[in-house]
Amino acid sequence: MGIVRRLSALMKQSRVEREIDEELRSHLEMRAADNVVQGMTKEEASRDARLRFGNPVAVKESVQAEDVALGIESLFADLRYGLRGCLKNPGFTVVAVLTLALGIGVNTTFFTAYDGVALKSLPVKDADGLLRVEQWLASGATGDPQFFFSWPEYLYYRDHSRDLMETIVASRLISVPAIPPGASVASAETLQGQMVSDNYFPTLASSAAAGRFFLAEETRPAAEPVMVLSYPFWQRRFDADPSIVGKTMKVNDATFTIIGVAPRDFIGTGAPPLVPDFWAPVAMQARLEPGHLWLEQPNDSQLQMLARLRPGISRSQAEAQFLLLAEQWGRANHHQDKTIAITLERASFFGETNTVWFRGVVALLMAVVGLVLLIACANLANMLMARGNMRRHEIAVRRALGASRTRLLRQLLTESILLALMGGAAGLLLSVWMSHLLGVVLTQMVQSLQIVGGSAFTLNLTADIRVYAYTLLLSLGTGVIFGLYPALRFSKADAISALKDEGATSGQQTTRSRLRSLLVGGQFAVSLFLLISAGLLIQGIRRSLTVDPGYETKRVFFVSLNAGRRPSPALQRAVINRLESMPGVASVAIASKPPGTGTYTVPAIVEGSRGSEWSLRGGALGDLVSPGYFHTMNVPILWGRNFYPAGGRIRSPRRDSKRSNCEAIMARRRCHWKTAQAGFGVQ
Amino acid sequence: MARNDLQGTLDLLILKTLSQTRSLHGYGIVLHIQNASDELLQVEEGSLYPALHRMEQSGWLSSEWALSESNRRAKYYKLTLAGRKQLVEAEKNWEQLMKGVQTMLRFA
Repeated sequence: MGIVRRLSALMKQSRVEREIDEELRSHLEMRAADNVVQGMTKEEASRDARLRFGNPVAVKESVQAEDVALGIESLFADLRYGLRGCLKNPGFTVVAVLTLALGIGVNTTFFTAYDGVALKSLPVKDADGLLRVEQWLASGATGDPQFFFSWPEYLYYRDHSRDLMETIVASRLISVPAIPPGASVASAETLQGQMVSDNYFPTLASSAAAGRFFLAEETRPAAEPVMVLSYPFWQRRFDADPSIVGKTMKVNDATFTIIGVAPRDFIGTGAPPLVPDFWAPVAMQARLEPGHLWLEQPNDSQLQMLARLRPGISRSQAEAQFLLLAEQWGRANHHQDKTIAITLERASFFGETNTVWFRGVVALLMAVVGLVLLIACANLANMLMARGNMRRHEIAVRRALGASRTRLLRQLLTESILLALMGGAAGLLLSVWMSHLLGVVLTQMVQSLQIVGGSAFTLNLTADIRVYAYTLLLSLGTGVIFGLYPALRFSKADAISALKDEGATSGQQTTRSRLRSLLVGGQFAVSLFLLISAGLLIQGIRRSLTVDPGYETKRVFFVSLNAGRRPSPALQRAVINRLESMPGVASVAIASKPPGTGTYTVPAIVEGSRGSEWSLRGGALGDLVSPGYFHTMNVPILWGRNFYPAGGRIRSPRRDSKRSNCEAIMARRRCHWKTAQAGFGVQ
Repeated sequence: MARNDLQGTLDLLILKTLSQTRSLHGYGIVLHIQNASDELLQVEEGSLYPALHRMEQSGWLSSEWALSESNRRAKYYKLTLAGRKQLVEAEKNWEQLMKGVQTMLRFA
């Protein structure tokens, strides 16, 4: 505690205080001197001077109160006094600080998560100027259709908006079989790749961690295939070996030369923030996905588009130009779903966070963590009330010595704010740890979902300036709001009655205890509410673990097939036959997406209905499967029949997820699917 | 003077005192008020200082440390421009008040 003592000694006799002392002393001395001149003895003179002057301590207090605008001095005094109080009463301090640390820590952790999801900028060059292109469709479709564009579409936009902005694209992450340098053919690995436009790296990253980025001539389809590794993959797989640059990696049947490594903090462009293992130019598409050529397809939307406005161009200008281009493009390519608006949103880690859904979830979670803080605060207020009661005597003495009520109020508030700030600091420390834990848990959760197997999901949950500011404001607010009532109450204490009999008149006692029981009762109610909510949540999770999804879960295993994006029908058949001939395997089926991992939205029309083929969009979710699927998954077909095996084009793939929905429609009409460009499925 | 005297009276007296002299310390102000009012007004000496500090905070007075006639360090107060304006205002208010009180007293 040496530092505290030395600090307080330093601050003890502040300049302003000394000046006031000297001024008052000089007054008393002048009066006494005049008295002596008029014939009094020295003692008489100074006694008379003091009588005329009044209580010097009281005068000093009120002079100081007038000087509060100079503030900082008396603030130091209050802080010093508050600190001393904290040290004198360590039990109280520790409990109060820990209580607040928990409340503020939980809130800060939540805010850190919110910050990481919605507010933080991507770790790219000039992140605030980077905008994500989002289109709004007449059908009201949301999600992927809003964010993905085809390559020819991108070229059209790029070429017609050059004056206004720089546009870049990045594909979805794709899984490819690869043989890294030094590995044998037998040890092929599945890697996550992302295809990007040639200007992707120059626009987003300053320089490569090793090697270089793509050259213009490397981004033509005929060029030798090249790739840039991601930093985490380079570390994980090659131990950050710089000599990796220049070596080759076999992907599918093509040989890619590794030309560089992206910077350490470069995680791509997010939404969702999955870091691929490598990046390759879009021109390499045919070599990365030999089974699915979309580069020339004007209606095959595979690329997310981002834009950076040229200086002096406003967002609305760019949006208007984009909409114009989208309308022209849609007309030229017979788009059935009209684009009605284009918006450019700041590119964040998780895409659109301005939706009602997201806001609702945030508000709900905020309310829950807010309640935790409320409990902590009620606790603090209660403790302050109890301590205030014990300090009535001390406060009464200061009152009697001439401290004004405002002065005492300030003193008491300073103390509660001091406590809250200490709680906030401890809470911040706690939240660093909790955020880390949350990050680990969330990352594991996302990875166990296997949306994209194996790739690094990044969630940046480190505290930044926004988090610090939030915690500071939260602590200050807590200190003021929950210190105010006790401070108001006890600064009012009537000096005389408090000194006489501790002010324990029965009336005051009842009101005080009533308030305190109100606080305790409130605390109890909120805690109970939170406990019940937590209980229900756990119950819900338990139920969702045991719920019957309508298909076999115990005996079915998922095996992912890495043979490019769309394995040929012959290969599919061969795989099914080989697996089915294994002992212990009852049946084998192929699905483009296993249940629970997503569906396609297919343009569908109910025969005889008047709507366009998009009218069922969003309501008709499809999955491409082989005929053995329903048998294997143990899903009964309620109406009609299964597909014919090897029966030409696939018609009416029945879906399991929305079965009851489709069933209702089919009871009246035939459900006719116009999709079925069956690149997948047995023919 | 009683503590809860007519509001602003002490301010007025201080402002007037400082307008009649160049600069004065607190004790000098007390003596001046006493002399100039023919001993009719006695300022409770301690209560002068909060008022002085408040008026300084409001920018009506400025202060500096100097040596007194008896070679003692003392804080001297001086009227600022804002203080002079305030004095005019305060005198007007005071006359207004006196007029009001007198009219009220003469009311039969």
